[in-house]
Amino acid sequence: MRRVPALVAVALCVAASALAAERTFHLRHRQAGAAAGVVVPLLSSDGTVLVEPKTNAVTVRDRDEVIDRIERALAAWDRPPASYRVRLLVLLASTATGAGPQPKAVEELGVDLRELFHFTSFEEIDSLSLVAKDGSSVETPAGGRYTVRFRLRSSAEAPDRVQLAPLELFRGDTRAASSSLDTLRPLLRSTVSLRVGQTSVVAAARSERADQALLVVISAAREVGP
Amino acid sequence: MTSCRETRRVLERYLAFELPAADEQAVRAHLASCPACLAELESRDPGAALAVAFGASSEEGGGEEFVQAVLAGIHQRRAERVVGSRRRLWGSAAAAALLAIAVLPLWRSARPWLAPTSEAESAVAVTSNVEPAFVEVEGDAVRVYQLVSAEAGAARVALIVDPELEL
Repeated sequence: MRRVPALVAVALCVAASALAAERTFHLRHRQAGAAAGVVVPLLSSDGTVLVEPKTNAVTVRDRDEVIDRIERALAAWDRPPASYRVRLLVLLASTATGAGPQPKAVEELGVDLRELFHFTSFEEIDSLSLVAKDGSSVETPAGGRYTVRFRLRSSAEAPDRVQLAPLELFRGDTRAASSSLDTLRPLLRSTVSLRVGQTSVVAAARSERADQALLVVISAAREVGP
Repeated sequence: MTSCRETRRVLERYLAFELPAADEQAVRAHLASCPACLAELESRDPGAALAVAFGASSEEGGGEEFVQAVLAGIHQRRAERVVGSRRRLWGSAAAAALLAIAVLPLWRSARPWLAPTSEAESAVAVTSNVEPAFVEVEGDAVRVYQLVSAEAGAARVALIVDPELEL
């Protein structure tokens, strides 16, 4: 009869040794709290994960082969956020006569804005080239007359698509103003989905027949990290 | 010849695509020649009025197709908005007004970059070219026109019309 507890003890020891593997992963780019979403689906039924926000680490206890799989998954997931260069050309279009030549960037659109709209004049307010990481917010004055702000969003699954969500345009150069942008009502607030390598033009006017419109010519390109 | 009174009486049905084809054409012909009724249409649906105005100014007779395509786009978006708002009555997103019209391949003579290569292609464009909007704006009175080029590599263009916009 003494053999039974001994067998149970051996079985427990075997089970414990099967799960004896424990490894701690320190994350470099992502939050440890979010790593649980990657780790938990990969755990075996006996596996556990401990999230340590202070050290931005996760400790996984499971069988060796499971931990190896989790290590590969975390390595693929814990990447630096994608970086994109966003170019914005801000133009004021109008029906004013005696217009000068179109800005070169407008000529290269493959779209004749003069024919598409009824505007005859395109005044360049500013040309901006900004680098933004996934999830980051960028705010910059445009020609001293406007301020542009956007939050860039991208996904690893579709690296050729980028969203400016939202893209906002405020009147005035807010660097000079004491008020924060968050207290101001934007002139324009939209979500713009961009395809990398394709130019998009967002025009805003008071009416379909307005004699003035604000145009933002936007393009995005993936920045290759060092 | 349709009168102003008759036109205004059937304007809602015209916008809802409920008129017989012959009546629809008569209304459109009247709108093209009557600024007052066009203004009335514009007050109810600026996008539709814009379509009629563009159609009337077309030089090669493609105007009819263009107007039809724009109205079809408006009709579809309205239906989507109704369905969408029923689904999302709880959310602020229900207040978003999005009107995307992707019918410019039919916009011909004055816009060669958008011209279709054949009639068949243009017919396909009317039914299938309303692709997801690349610009979305919130606001009840805000309208968005999305203009899609048929030409590869050309820029996509969206026009946001906000009556409260102060440039």
